[in-house]
Amino acid sequence: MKHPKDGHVVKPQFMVASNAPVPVPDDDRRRRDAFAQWLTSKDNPFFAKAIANRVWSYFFGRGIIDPVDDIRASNPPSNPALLEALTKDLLDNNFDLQHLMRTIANSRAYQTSFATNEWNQNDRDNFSHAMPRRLSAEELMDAVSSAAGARPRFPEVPEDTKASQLVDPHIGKEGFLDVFGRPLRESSCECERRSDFSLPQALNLVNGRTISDAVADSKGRVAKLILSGRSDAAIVEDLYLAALSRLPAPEESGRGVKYLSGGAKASRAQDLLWALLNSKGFLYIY
Amino acid sequence: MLNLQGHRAYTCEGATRRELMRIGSIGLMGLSLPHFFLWRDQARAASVPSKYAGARGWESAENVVMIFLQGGPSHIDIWDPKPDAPAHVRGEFKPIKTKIPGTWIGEHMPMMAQHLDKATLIRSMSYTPNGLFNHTAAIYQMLTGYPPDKVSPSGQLEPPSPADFPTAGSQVSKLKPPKEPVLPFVELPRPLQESGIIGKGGSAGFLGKAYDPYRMYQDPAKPVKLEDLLLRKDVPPERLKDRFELLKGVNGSMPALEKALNEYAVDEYYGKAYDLVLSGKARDAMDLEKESPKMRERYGMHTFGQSLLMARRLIEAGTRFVQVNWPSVANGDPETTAWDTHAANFGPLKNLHCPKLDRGLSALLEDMDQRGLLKHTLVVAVGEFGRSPRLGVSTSGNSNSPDGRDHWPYCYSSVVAGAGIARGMQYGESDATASSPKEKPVHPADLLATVYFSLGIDPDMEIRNHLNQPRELVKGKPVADLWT
Repeated sequence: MKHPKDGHVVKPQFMVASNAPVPVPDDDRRRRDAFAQWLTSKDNPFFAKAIANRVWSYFFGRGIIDPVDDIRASNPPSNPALLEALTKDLLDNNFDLQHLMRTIANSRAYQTSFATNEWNQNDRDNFSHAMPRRLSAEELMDAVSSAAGARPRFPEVPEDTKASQLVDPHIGKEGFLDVFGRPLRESSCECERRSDFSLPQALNLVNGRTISDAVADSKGRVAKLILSGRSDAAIVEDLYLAALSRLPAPEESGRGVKYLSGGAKASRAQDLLWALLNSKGFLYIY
Repeated sequence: MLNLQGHRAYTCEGATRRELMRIGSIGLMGLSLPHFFLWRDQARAASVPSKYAGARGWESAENVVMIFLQGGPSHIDIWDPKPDAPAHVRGEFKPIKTKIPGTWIGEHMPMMAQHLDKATLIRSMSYTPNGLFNHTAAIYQMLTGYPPDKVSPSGQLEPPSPADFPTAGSQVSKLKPPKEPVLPFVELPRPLQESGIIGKGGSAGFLGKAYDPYRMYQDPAKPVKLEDLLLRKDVPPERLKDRFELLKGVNGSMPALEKALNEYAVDEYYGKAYDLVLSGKARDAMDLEKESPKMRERYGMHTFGQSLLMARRLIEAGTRFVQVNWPSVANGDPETTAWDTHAANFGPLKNLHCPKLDRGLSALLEDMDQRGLLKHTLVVAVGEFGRSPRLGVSTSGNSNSPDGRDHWPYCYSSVVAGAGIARGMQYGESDATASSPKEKPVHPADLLATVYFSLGIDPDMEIRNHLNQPRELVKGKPVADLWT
């Protein structure tokens, strides 16, 4: 290509704002290959950084550069040293994502409590405390099925296919999953997935079919518990374990047992499970 | 202690559901919704009286129907014909007489011509954009009252953010919550959109998500599924109450988590969902099967017409603010009814756009007037800008066909009606080519100020943003002369 002003032949160059220039082969046909190779190589300073940032965001609900799809000079990382260290860890281990996840999960940052004190309660950028976040659409649906012992039912897929196993975002469209922000996979932006909380979601959880049907499933957890003839305390314990992965505290157990004994046991146990599945401890990762 | 005025980040001032739950003996279950809203009204009434109090038009409206014609309708072809202008300005359409003496509109709006005696036609909408010329920036300007530069420093299309200025409906549903257990702010039939950017200028922004519109995401022209709003047969009201009591107990035993999740306003949503399901009013309001086929056809058996009919039903049920967005995305293809007529103007307007707008808007005005709803409902129909008076030129950087018209915020039209606004009046006038107002320019911020003013919300009042900084509700003046 010739320079429009002085007419000299301009050497081909990749338009990358980087200190590490991309080698351009002379042979026209191989330029694309060379670029593709460079793109995913350790020489590309952007790739590893973007991946490290993205994986971090999966664990924290927020990138060190945030939003993770908006990496530019005027949107700097909240902690450059941290991002650099993660990038180096990823590069040193030859893009081993499992290793990176292990590094993150073992970090003190990941293991901090969501409880705050007066010094960090307003912090949202520096990972000084965990920030609870809502289960994603598919996670939430699968968690409801699993806790209630109900079987997921999607049209046109093999029985017992979980929401997280669906290959096509159009399966179960305009239902629970879409209300809770399942992405349509129309763009490659992480922002396609919504994790906020809204009125239609509350309506669905309170009165929609997903939770209400699951707790009343004739082959579900509550039905089995009732048939098993176990004690009220054992039923309450089982429901807490299934929904919140913990035993009820003594007063929680007491409240549960009192409720179960106040009327038709099966429907009362359904109500308790309904309440557990609607609780913040269930809806949010914390 | 009930704190009605204290500030709280990310949710709201006033009585939140959480605060109500704190009031020991009353608790959520014993408190029916009408009480809840009564409290908020009392809290509001106790504030300083507005300097507008007593002015003509002040507090004349209880509800608002905002018909937002996203995409930018061509004012010169629809509302403001210029038969004496050169051919490359006046275009192909002829003017027709209307019920407003001396005021003519485009020939493809014959029904509106007959019903303009119920409305005021504003022909002097005008503003100069602050750099940006795209739909999203203009929509943001129209519906929040603020230019988007403060929240979009990159100048690019950006998705809604929690730092955004709140859209008008969100402001209203916070400052004047409905008295009935209904959805306070409903957006039909889909959110605002330009390309992949959905809902910019149409979200609650720094008021917090609790004030976002209820978005139905369904086409009212088709059978609508609203099972979430209808109480389930196996869960009678008593059982739902029991379930909520249990839920309160489960949440209450994890106070640290409650605190950490405070900003998500989960309880607020659950409270609203509970009230809505128990009352059943919203469900009924959205059931167009309850209307006669004749009525449905009067509005037009298409998405826009049926959305307007649903808007009327929602207003009847007590919804404070209904926004009906034109169903096509702002920058869509004009051949599929987007108002963005760069590529083709006259054909689509004549065959697609105008017949739907004409039928739907005239039906709404007629129907609401007959039912007496127009007395206390403000109806506004407006887009984010008009279109270039001159055919086939580029004003926004977009390319245009020879008969296409480009974006034009410097002069356009809007229709306002109801709440005592003058019937059969033209307000403002444009110059010979409908390029700029000749008199009485109305800035989008003035239009919003007028909406707030009509509801008895002082446009000059101070609100607090997400950083608790003081902001003006809107930097505009109400057009009080609309009330004569």
